[in-house]
Amino acid sequence: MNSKTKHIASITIPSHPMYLSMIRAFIEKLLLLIDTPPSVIEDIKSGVDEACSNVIKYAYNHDYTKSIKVSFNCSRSEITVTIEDEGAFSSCLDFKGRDLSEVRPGGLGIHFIKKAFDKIDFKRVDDTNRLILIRKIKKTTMKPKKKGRQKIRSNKGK
Amino acid sequence: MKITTEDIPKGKLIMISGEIDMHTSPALRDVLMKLTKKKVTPIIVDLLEVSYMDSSAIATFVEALKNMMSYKGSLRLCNLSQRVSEIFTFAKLNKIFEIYKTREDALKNC
Repeated sequence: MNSKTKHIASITIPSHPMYLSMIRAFIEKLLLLIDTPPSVIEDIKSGVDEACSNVIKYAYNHDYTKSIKVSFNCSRSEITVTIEDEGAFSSCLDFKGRDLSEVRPGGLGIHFIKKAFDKIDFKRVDDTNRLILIRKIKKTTMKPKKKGRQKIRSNKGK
Repeated sequence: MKITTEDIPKGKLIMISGEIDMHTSPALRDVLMKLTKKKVTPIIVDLLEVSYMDSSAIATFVEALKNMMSYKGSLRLCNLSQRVSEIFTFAKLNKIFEIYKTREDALKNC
């Protein structure tokens, strides 16, 4: 894949918490395709998981019969995740997480989202909430690509 | 997620495997709330096989810890993976919880 190649993929899940693990598995497989560093994959899994949890809790008010669409637009320099729902207006930009020096349950999710993404944007388009999350990938953190033919290594005997 | 509990000379050992998220954390909360209601101490939570933890998992542990503070109980976490450990550090909870490297360390004085 050259630096201009884009990977576009999306997944739509029911708005039930049991499907959050599907989103995380999808993210892992997709980001591995573009050699994303493991720490970045974990951050993005966590940030998207928290954002989808917020959709279920606040936009859909725990109505598990709705749907959430998560789209990915990935290049080697940037990963853009768009999360769409048709619930009540709910922007995580308005969420104020708890002060991290406080010890109390709750209020951490937004911190995980902010930790994972460099830019967070929200749009309400017609009846759809659209959360746009952008993570920039530093080139130095990407695995170097070998030129030419690559040997296929066998794991046998390891 | 799978939760297994085991009696120890003093208190209870909880072993968790799998992912703790918005879907699975209520089951963990049920277990912890039942124990804290009975004022069990110490409660040792072995996280060796926990591959993922979200903010609802952290909230569940914080709630249990707060309950236990009321009866001066001890909530001990052990075998945290690097990622889970990073989450506790990020949430500034690494110094609030009693965190042990191994189950054996956590079980000392039980």
